[in-house]
Amino acid sequence: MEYQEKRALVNLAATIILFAVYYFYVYSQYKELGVADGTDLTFWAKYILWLIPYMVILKIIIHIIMNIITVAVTKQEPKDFEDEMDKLIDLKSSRNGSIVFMLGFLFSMVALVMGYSPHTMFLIIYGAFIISGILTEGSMFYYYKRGV
Amino acid sequence: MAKCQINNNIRKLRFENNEMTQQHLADLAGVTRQTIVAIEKGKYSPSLELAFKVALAFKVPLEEVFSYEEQENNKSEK
Repeated sequence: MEYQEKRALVNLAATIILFAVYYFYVYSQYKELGVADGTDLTFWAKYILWLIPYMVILKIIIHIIMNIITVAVTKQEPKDFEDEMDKLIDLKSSRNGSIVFMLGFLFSMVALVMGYSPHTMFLIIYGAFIISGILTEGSMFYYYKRGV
Repeated sequence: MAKCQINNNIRKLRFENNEMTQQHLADLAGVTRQTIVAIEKGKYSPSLELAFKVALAFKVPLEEVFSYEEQENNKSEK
């Protein structure tokens, strides 16, 4: 398996685990605080905003650890530049993830229109984040494996 | 409906050029080894610029490295 395929798989696994851990933490906070309907928006907005730096920082750490392990095992420094194929795969994977997130966002709006609570809307948006993240990384692995 | 296919002789040319490795060719063309692997296996069609760089690495014209084939879809013939 090539370095880029391994990196895509590691990113996929990391995305699933990090999202799951974060979701359980947020859900436990939600239950603990006993958030009333009126303060739902502030609570969810805060935790969705915190999700971004959480994911960015932890993914950087995972990337560094993966590079250290790669150098230790293969005794070669992995090439850290993106050529045209890497850029095309990145573009197509991001496109796939963005489409799914947009669909999830629209679905959350439909849920609001149908009378569901803001709590449900944020859960759908959060779910869309997770699925789009998984699809983006999964697409990268697929394109590296099967070609683009 | 015609299906386009770009074929290449990269593997053959590598062996004819002192058994050049994929990594060496990748370094000459300025791409990763995985891109060369993908091109050889027909999983990726290189850009025009990359195609010229690969041909330059072998010091041969572009048409000796890459060829274009048009294949008719079987369904359209039936």
